[in-house]
Amino acid sequence: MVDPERLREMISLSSFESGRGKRARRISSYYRSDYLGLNMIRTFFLTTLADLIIAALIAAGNAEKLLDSLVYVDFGSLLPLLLAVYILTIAVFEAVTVAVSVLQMSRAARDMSDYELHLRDLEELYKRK
Amino acid sequence: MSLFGGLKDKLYRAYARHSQLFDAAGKFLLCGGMCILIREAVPFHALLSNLLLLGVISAIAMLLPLQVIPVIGAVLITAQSFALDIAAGGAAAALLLVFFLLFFRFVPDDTLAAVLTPMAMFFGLDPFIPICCGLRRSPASVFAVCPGAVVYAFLRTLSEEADVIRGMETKDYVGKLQLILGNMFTDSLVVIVLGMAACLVTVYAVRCLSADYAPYLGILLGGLVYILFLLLGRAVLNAELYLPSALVGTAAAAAAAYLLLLFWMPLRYAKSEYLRFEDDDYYYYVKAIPKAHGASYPGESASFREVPNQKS
Repeated sequence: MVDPERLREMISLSSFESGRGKRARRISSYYRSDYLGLNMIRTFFLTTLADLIIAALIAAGNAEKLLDSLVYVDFGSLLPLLLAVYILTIAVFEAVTVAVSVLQMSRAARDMSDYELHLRDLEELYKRK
Repeated sequence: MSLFGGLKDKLYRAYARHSQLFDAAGKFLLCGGMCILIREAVPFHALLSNLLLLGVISAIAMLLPLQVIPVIGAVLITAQSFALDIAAGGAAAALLLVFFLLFFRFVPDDTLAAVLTPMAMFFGLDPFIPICCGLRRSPASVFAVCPGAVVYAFLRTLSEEADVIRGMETKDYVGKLQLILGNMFTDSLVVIVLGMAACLVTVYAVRCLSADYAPYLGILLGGLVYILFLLLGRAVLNAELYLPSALVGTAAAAAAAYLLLLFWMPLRYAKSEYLRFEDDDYYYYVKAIPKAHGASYPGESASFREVPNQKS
C-alpha cells in the first residue's frame, strides 16, 4: 500500500530536483573560490564586450564631431580617461558579480542541506517500515 | 478583505489542480501581450506584424521556459527595427545585447519584470512594476525594471521618428543613429529610470519593516518617491515630463498594486499578536498577523509555508 507520508517526502524531493535543485546542485558542485573566479572571469569578458558595444554606439552617434576633432584632440590625455571609465565599469560589475555569486552560493548550500534533511527523513521512513 | 482572501484561496486551489494549464495560459498571455505591444509600437515588417504568426509564436512560448519570452521579444524588436532601417536595427541589437550581457544575467528569475515594465508603461502605469517588484522581489529587480523602461523609450522613439527616418537619405546611417539615440536618451528618461529604481528600493525597504501596515505604507511611499523624482527632474534638469498624467498613472499603479496586495497577503493588522518566549540559546520576539479570511477550511489542518524575503 502507498505510504502517504513517504509519498509526500518523495514528491517534495522530486519537485526540488526538477526545479530549484538543478541550479543548487550545479552551484554546490563548485568550490567557493572556483565559482567566484569563474563568474568574475565571465563578467570581465562580457562587460568588456558590452563596453565596446556602448563605445561603438556613442562613436557612431557622434561620428561627425569625432571626425572633426580628430585633428586637434590630444589622445594622450583622452586615453587615461577612457581607461578609467573602463576600469570603473569593470570594477562595479565585478563587485555586483561577487555579491550575487556569494548570495547564490549560500542559497544553494541552504537548499542542499534542506534536501539532504528530506533525504534522511525518507530513509528513516523506509527503515521504519 | 475576506472576499479577497477567500478568492485567493479558491484561486490557489484551482491553480494547484490545473497548474500546468494555468502556467501555459499565463505564458501565452504574457508573450501574446508583449508581441502585440511590439506590433503596435514598431509595425515595420508586414509578416512580423501578422497576428496569426504572433499567435503561433505565443503558442510556442507556452512550451518554453519563462526566461525565453524576453529573448523572443528582443528578436522581434530587432527584426522590426531592421525592417525600418539598418541603423535602427543596429541600435536595437546593440542595446538589447548590452542589456542581456550586463543586466539580465544577474536576475534570470526577474525577466518577467523586464517584459512587464514596457507593457505597464504603455498603459501609463510607470511605477506599477517597480512597486510590485518591491513588494515581492528583492532590490536586484532594478536590473530588470530599468532596462525595461529603456526598451520602452526605444520603442516609443522608433514609433515617433519612423517617418523622419524613412525620409532621410538611405546611407545617412550616422544621422539616423544620432536621431534615434538623441531622442531616446533624454533627461526625462534618466529621471524616469532613476525614479523607478528609487521607488522599487523604497517599497522593498518599507515593506521589510516590522511596522503595522508596512506593505501598504511601502506602496504609498514608493509612489510618492517616484512623483518626487519627477518633480525634481523637472525642476533641476528641466526634463520634459507631463506631470498630470504621471500623477494619475502613479495613483492608478498604486491602486492596482494595493488590489494585488489584497490577493497576495490579506492580513488583519488589528488582530496582530506580539509573543515573547525563550529557550536555552535565544529570546524570541514574534509578531503574528492573522490572514484576513481566518482559519483554514473545516477538516483541514493549517500548514506552514516559507515566505521568501518577507520579514513582517
